[in-house]
Amino acid sequence: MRLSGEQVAGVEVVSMGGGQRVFGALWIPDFPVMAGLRAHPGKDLDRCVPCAVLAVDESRVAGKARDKLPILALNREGWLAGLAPGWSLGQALVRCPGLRIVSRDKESEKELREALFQLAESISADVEMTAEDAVVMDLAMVRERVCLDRLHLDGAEVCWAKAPTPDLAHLAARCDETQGCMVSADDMAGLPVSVLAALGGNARTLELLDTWGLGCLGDFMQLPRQGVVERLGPQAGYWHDVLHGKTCRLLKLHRVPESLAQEMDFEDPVEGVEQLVFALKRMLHVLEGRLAARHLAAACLELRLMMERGGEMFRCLNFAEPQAAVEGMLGPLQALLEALRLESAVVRMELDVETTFATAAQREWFGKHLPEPERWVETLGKLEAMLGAGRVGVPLRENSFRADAFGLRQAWLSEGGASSYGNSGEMVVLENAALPLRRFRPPREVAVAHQSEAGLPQPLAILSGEYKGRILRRRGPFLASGEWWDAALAWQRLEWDVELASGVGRLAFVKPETWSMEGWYE
Amino acid sequence: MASEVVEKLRQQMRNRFPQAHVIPEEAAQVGERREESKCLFDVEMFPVGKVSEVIPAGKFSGISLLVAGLLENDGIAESGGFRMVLVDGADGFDPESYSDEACGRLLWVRCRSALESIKAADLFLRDGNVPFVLLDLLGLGRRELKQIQSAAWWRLKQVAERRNGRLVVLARETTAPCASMRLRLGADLRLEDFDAEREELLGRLRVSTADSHGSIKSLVG
Repeated sequence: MRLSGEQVAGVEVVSMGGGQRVFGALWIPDFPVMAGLRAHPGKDLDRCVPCAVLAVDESRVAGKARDKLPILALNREGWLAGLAPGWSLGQALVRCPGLRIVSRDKESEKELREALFQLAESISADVEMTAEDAVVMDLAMVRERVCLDRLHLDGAEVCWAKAPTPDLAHLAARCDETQGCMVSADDMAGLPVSVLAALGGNARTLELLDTWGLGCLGDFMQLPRQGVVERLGPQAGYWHDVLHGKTCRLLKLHRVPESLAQEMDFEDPVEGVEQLVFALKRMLHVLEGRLAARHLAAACLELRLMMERGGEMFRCLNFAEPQAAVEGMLGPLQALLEALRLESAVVRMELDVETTFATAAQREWFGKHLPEPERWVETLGKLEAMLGAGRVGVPLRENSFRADAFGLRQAWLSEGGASSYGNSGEMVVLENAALPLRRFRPPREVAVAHQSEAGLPQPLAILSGEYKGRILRRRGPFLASGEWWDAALAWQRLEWDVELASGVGRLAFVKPETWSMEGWYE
Repeated sequence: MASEVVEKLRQQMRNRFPQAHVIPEEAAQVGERREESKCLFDVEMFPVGKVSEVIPAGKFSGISLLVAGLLENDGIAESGGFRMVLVDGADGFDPESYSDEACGRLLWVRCRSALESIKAADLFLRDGNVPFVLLDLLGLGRRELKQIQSAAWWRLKQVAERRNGRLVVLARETTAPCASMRLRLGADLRLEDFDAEREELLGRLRVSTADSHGSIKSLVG
């Protein structure tokens, strides 16, 4: 977002002098509506008519339920029409039939927020994003006198106020009475109590203040602080301190996240691994310099290759230990590239990095760690390239009775279960079956001769497949079912452990007539 | 040193109060079996820098209990949280059959063929970070296993020697020609044994050494 000429002109070169703390707050009223209207520049005329943004996307709701959707925000015309946030859409349309509904646009809100931040940053280097629609700046170190009246954002009104503390400035910017001037604690007395909601805290406390008959902040400020804290808790005490200007907290400075991403477009599509590795090496050298300048290291590298035919390949490479040197980063990437079988030539390569501090990997004190972690990452990269994604990892049992339900945790980080394991030296008694099963993936469908007993099928012999034969003995049936609350996902099955002349296996039956060998006991 | 002193004290107490130290015969047998099982399920049992092979002694031998025993046996320090790498030749490992703690100690490599399994085992032995590699070839067919050249096994042995790793091969029959230790494992299990505790089944496992010609010598049990 570029600053307009008016914004630049808004700063006058006048020496400020003195060491007084001054904070300025900028606030965009009716933020969601303003952002929504900015996203639709063709509807500029709508600014003159009442507009509202709903709390829920109306396209997802149909029929009468739409009328019950609450209003999230209104523009000035909407307020003038007597509407207020929280009203249902049906009520609002009865009061104001010409009300226009603007769809909420999160992207536009983000852009507007960034524009507000840039506007504040053009005035002061120390800026806090206090709320989604407000920023607070530290003006004490600004050598120029700032003329905030001339501040302007395209498509949005910006209100401002200055005060000796950040919270006072934040509150003052939100009220018509205190906007556009330097306020002190005494100036806050005439504001309504509801402004305190901008400081956060329990809404119930505000209701209680209203019940007590406190009409304005002056009434609240006159209450003894100790009594307020005893009756309403520490939050009310904090409000009391803010209004009296007793607390001047430090700003939580906002810094735009830095990106170390690099991309390279190849003039001619690249097919050989050597060329890719060469290009990658160049990018890693740049990355190494940037990391060194920031005293950082790479925790994870993200490589994306765009193919000539339109597809793309993405790999995320986690390092067991932070890497800052080219050699440490190139080895695993090279192993990965060499084992890749690409569908077509590469036209573009992108490399991004997740940074961490070089000392972030703390050695374990009470357990063994991997002797050569850098080698470990390379080995896992080679394996992934050979076997494909999702074939190497730590098995995780899923919280489900569904057959063969399991997950795989990545093995980049060695988080063994041993640390939480007892050290008694006793063998562990388990809840699961006594004998481990060797699963067939996928299960092998078989034909089974069976008879019906009490409404349940009872297998007598397996007629097809590798494990044919008469069933000598069986355990079961074991009925398993799950997700019955969802008709699309509900499942039900019967299982038996069956003994044949050739051994023991697990047989499963799924309605209407599917029999399968799930595995074999060795 | 401290354990020797404790043992001496215990011996003195046993000599002085023999009635208080009478162990019922059955309990003593169970205790012995547990100790034997623990010995079997200790990775230290398999020689360092060598290839070992474990084959089943019968059709329903309980050989898969070996994996359970190795994973669930306490008191063994593991590197980086992993006790062993399981190179699963036929992708047959069933996480549901094991506890969460046991699964957390295992790095599972899901292969689809004998060739992939050999390559994966080679990579882990060369890596050396987890020095115990269990190569499970039980789910693979005899024909596929025969296609593995003996040179590949010798190469694995050399890597294991160089990196001080332990490679244990689970197979239905003698497969690795260079195995320095070959164990035959069996427990004569039946369908009724599914109702028993796993600990009891582990205690019933019998181990015998077998050379490549099939002669058997009882080792444990």
